[in-house]
Amino acid sequence: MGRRPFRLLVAAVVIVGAINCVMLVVAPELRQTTVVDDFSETLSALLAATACIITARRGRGRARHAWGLIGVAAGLWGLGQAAWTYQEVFLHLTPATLFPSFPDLGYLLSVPFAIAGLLRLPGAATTNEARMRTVLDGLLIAGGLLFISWDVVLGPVYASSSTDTFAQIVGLAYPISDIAMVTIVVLTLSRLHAGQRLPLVLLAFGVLLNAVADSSFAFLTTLQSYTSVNFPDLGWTMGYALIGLAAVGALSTSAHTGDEAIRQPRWTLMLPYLTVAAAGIAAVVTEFIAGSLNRVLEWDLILTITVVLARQYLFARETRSLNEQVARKNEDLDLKVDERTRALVESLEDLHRSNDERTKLLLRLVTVQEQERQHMAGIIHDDMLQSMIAAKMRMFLLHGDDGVEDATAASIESSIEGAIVRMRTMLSDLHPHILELGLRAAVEQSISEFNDDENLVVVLTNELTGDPSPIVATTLYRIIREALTNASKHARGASVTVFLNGDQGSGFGARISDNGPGFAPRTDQRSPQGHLGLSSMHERAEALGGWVHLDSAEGAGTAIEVWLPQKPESVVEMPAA
Amino acid sequence: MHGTRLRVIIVDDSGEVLSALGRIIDKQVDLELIGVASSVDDGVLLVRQLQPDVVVLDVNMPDGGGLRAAKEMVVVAPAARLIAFSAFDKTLIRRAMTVAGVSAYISKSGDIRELLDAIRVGRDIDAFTPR
Repeated sequence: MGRRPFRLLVAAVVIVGAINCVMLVVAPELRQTTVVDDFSETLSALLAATACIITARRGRGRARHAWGLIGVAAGLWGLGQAAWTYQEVFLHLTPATLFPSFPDLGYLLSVPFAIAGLLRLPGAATTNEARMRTVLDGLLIAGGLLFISWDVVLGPVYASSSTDTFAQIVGLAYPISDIAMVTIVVLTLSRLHAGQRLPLVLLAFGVLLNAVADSSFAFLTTLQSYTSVNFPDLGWTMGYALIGLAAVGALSTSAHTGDEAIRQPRWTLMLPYLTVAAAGIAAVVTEFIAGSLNRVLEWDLILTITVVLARQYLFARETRSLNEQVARKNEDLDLKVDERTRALVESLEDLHRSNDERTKLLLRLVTVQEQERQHMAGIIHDDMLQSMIAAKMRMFLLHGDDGVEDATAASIESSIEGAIVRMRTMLSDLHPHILELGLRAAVEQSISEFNDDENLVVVLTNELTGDPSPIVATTLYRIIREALTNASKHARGASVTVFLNGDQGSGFGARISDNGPGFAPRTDQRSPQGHLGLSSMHERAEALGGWVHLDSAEGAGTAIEVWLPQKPESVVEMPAA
Repeated sequence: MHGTRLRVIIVDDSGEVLSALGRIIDKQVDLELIGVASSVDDGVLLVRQLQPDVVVLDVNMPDGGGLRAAKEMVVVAPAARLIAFSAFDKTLIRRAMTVAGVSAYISKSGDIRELLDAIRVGRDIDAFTPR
C-alpha cells in the first residue's frame, strides 16, 4: 500500500471521527447518534483487522506474526461490537441489561491475541526469558496501577455497585488487561529504532485509547450510569482507527523482518518498579487514613509482590546465565590466548633455532672455505710451484752459466717465470702464509704492500696483546685487506690509519679509517654500488659472532670497524697453518 | 780455505727442487754438495753431523718451516752460513729469517745465479772455473 491510500484512510478516519464527535456533543439522546456510534465502532475495528491482516500477509518473520495476531484481536473485538450493535440497534436492548453478555466474549477474547501480538512486535523481546520478563513487567505495572485505581476510584465505586460477582470479574478484566497491554506497548516502544517507531507510536496510542475507553466503560458500568452513547465510545472508534493506520503505516514504511536485536534503554528497567513504588506509597497512605486495607487491595499487594519475586527470580537466573556465558567466553578467550601465546613462543623458538643454525652453518662455511683454500694453497705451493721452480733450474742446467743464446729456451724460461709469479699471487690470495708470523706481521706486510703501490699512505697503530685464533686472525686479516683495497680504489691518495687492538679476553678488533671522499652508506650497512666487498665483510664477521660497522658520509671519509670474539662458539677450528 | 771447495747442504721439502738444485751445485767446480734433506728435522741432523760451509734452506716447509730450521742450525753448526731460499718474497719473512741468523735471502723465482753468488760470498770467484 502506497502513500495515497494511507492518506485517504487518514482523511476518512478523521471525518468519521469528527461526525461521531459532533453528534455526541450536539445530540447525545438521538437514536441516530447511538446507531452512528455503534456502526462506526464496529467498522473501525473490522477495518483495523483487515489492515492488520493485509500487513501480516505481506510481512515477514516476527512482524508477520505480530500483525496477524493484532488483526485477529481487532477482528474478535469487531465481532463482539457487531453483536453489541445487533443487540442494541436491532433488538433494542438497553446497555444495562447487555452487561455482561455475548459481546463481552468477543471483547475479552481479543485481549490474549492482542497481548500475544504486541509481544511479537519487531523490537520486542526475542528470547523466551526476555519475553517472560516483559509479561511480568506488564503484570507488575498492572498490579501497581490497579492498586492505585482500586484504592482511589475503582474500589469504592465497585463496592457500592450492586451487580453480581460474575459481572464484577468481567468488569475488572477490562482495566487489568488494558493496563497490561499499554505496559507492553510502552515497553516495546522503548526498544525501537527511531526509524521504525511511527507505526508503533500510532499502535500505542490506539491501544491507549482503547484502554481508556474500556476503563471508563467498566467505571460507568459499575456505577450503572452507562448510557451506550458516551464520550469514551469515541476512544474505541479512534483507537481502532489508529491501529488500522499503524498497520497500513507499517506496511508502507517497514521493509525489514524485525529480527534485529535492539538495545533496551536503561530507564525502562525501572519502569515496572515505579508503579510498584507508587502502589506502596498509596498503601501506606491508605493504612494511615482508613486504618487497614481492604481484601482486594491486600490480594493485589500480595500478587504484585509475588510478581516482583518472580521477576527477581527471572532476573537472577538471567544474571547467572549471563555470568556463566561471560565466564565461558572468558575461559574460551583464555584458552585462545594461551594457544596463541604457545604458538608464538614456539615460532619464536623456531626462529631462534633456525637463526642459530644459520649462524653455525655460516661459521662452518667460512671455516671450511678457509680450510679448503689452505689445502689448495698447499697443493699449489708444494707441488705445482716447486715443479715450476725445478723446471726453471733445469733450464739453467741446459744452457749453463753463460746465459741463454737460444731464443726458444729463453721463451720457455720466461713462460716458466710468468707462471711462478702468477702462482705466487694466487697463493697469497688463497692462504696468506704470512699469518704464520702472526696477525700483526701479516697486517704490517699488507700495509707495506699498499704503501709500495703509492695509492695510499697507510700507518698502523697496534695495540694488540696476544694472538687471535687462526680463524679469527684470518678473518680479521681478510677484512682489513678488503678495507684497504676499497680505500685504494675509492680514496686514491688518502691517508689511512689501521688501528689494531684486542686480547684473548675481550676478542680482537680493528678500525680502518681514511680521509677520502666518503660515500652515503645504505641503511642496512651492506655494499653500495662498487663496494661489493662490504657484504662479505659483514657475513664473515657475523659468522664468527662478531660485527662490522661502516661509518661514512659524502666528504667525510670512511671508517670501518670490526670486532670478533676470540673463540667463536662451536667453531670448527682450523688446523694451525 | 783457498783451493778447497765449499761444502753445501740443501734442505727443501720438494724432491724436484732438491734434484735440480743438486745437479746445478754439483756442476760448480768450487762447490761440493755433501748432503740433501727434505724435512726440517733431517736437515738439522745432517747439518750437525756434517758441519757444512753453506746451507741452502727452503723457507716454506712443514714442521715450523725454514724459520725453525735456521734457529736450530745456528746452534748446532755456528760456522755454517745459512741462505734462505724461498718461493715468496715477503719483507717480514725476510726480516724474520735474518733475525734467526740467515745471511742471505734469495728468491726461488729469481735468477739462479743470485743463489750461486750468495753461496760464494767472500770467495774469489775468478780462482775457479766451471767444470
